[in-house]
Amino acid sequence: MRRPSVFHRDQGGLEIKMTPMIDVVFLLLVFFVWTASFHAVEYLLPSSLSQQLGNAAVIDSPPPEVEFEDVIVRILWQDDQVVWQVNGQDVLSLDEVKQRLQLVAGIKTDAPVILHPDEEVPVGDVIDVYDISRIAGFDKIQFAIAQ
Amino acid sequence: MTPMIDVVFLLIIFFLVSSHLARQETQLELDLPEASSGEQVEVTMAPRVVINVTEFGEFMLAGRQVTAEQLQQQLGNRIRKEGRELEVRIRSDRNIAFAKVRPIMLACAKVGIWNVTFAVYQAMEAPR
Repeated sequence: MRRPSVFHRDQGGLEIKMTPMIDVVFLLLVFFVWTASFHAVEYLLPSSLSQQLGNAAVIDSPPPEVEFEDVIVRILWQDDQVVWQVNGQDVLSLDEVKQRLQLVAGIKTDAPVILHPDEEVPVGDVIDVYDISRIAGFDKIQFAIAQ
Repeated sequence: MTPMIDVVFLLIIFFLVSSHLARQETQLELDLPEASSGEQVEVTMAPRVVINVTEFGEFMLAGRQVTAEQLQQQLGNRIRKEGRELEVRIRSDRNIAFAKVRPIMLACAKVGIWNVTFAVYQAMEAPR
């Protein structure tokens, strides 16, 4: 019978235990998979209604007399497409709306922007215009609400 | 030691995840509009009403479906109780027609709530 050699015994001692490692790796895997599937973070768009208390922040009907300083952005819904009008002039793309708003904002930012979306316009598109008005730097952005 | 650490770790992760999920459950899953000028949600104790508008155009208030009239009534009750600093947060599906959201804003204006905010997702790139 062969006596186990000294070298053989040494090799046995170096053996790596797999089970605890798999335990830990599994745990980490589960943790990261779980955290990765969390929801996107929500942000808030404050409406300018909050800044001015009470005085005609929401206009109940389309403004009867158009003041010169107001920037009126109409968001129309034609043939299932969004069409914009800035102060009565047709604008073809959202980029162009942005350029025009920035142009006005460069002169004066305290001019109120009045958004007047059609009923059928998706909220996402309304928020897009609201967003670019905010980016352009306007202080007062109001919604025209016709009854 | 090792089995104990294993078990403790597992428990920690379990409670972390379950508490996170429990917090998430309070929010209705909606396809919110995207905007790049959104601001961080601040955790405050200020009174707040969250109105969800689902993709079918239903108003959800505190987990229950309400009509526009009920909404205005309830908002009126809340502002009488909480006063002017009441915040109304509109969480609306991005594809719903604006006509569905308008009654909410109108109701807020009628009862005198001016602190109206929209919940949005942060846009990855500049808006189209």
